[in-house]
Amino acid sequence: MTAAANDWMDPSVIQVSDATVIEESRADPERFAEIYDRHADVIHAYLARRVGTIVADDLSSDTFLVAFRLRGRYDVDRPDARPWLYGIATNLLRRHQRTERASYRALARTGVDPLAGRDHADDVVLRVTAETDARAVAAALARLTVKERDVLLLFAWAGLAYEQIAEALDIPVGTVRSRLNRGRERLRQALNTTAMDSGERS
Amino acid sequence: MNDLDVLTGIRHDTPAISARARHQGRNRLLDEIGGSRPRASRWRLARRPMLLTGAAAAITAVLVAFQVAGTPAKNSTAEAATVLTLAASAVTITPAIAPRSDQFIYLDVVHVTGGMTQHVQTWTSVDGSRPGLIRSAGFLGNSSTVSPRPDPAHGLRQAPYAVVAKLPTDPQALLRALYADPYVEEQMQHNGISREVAVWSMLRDLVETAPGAQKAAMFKAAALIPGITHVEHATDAAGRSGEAVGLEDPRLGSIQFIFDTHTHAFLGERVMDPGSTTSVQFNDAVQHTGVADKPGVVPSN
Repeated sequence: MTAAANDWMDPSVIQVSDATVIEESRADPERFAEIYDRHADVIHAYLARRVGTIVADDLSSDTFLVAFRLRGRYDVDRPDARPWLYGIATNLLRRHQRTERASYRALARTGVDPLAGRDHADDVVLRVTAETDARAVAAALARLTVKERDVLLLFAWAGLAYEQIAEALDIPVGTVRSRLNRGRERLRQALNTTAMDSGERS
Repeated sequence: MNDLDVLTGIRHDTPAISARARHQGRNRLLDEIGGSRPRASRWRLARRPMLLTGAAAAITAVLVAFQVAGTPAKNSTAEAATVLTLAASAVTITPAIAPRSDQFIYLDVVHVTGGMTQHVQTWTSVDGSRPGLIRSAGFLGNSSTVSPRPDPAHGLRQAPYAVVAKLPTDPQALLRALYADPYVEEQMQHNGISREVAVWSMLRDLVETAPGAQKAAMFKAAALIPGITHVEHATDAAGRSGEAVGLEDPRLGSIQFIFDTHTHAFLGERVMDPGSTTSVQFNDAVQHTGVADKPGVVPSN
């Protein structure tokens, strides 16, 4: 471990791909901690945005436990492990669908986000969104199918490319494209309706 | 603004993972990693295999118990050595009756991790000639397991009472024996820890059931290990408060022995989160030790 700790501080070793680390972790399991060190932040950020910080604390941790157990099946031809990790995280999110959808609905109706993060240790910041646009989009998010929402949010919130989403969800790139288009179409419809409503009012 | 702009604006200010959540997540992963490699896991080092292979399997949200804990003072090695010396002198050297070779050493320990409790009772053959028993109950489930006869290849950590009773009672000589132990070698190799941490960690296991003379020598030997620090206030898993002596490993955290401040009796142990002086990973308390005629029978004395 002393050697390993030194390795981590060696810039040349940091450049080693995730695939290499995962491959090495099959013989030397402790290597896998590096996957956590590299990607825990982004996986948590994505999960927190979908289901709130508190649930994300557990799910991000679960993501890496599951990943560790499945490391033997990792395709080492894929140097970047992030799509794989996002895929595991997406599966784990399924159990929290209701919470997630309810939060979008609440945001749409009231402008208050029930999953608003705690920016400081003790005060809960109620994020009030006066913006009608955001509320319309939240309403649309609540109505999307799970599959559409997964693709749309991996794209918009996790910043994954089409190919990476395809890899994460184990679906063809064409399917990613069509789900993304459908999802965005629904958002646009919701925005147009809002625009028309406010247009009528003014 | 197009649909994607609006979407990206939603919850864009979600706070980043807290240091604590990140740390807990990492520790859970290390538990899992440890559990996957029984022969060389950090958990064997950190604590009893019975408890901890179970812990690795338990997928529960682990909240780290925050306890009121002392901060190790700087330059507290001298103080730490004093506490260990006092502990050595407080050990009752002569037991009323020495255990017979056909009897069993009984040990009852309560472990607490993340606010959850596991109660573990073990019976170990005095001369190592027969199988023992491990009874475990708590948040990891209840089990009763026959423990195999100790294997000398695994070093002193598994050594039966009769073997420990033959260890030198001179602290220097004892320390040399501990430094050269196969278990220590194995831990250094597999966990990459220093020889000091490996010895310290093994001492944690040994002191609980060692014969008086060896136990006193162990505390004196521990006082000779470089890098030990004194912790003014520490609480064992049974809530008894005292002071502690710790040795820090950058990855495992500070491994501490807790002693009663007044009687200097050994109370239990705790392992802090790496880098923390306040957040406890594991805490245990020795509830009872004794000699039993049969595994499964709790001695009355």
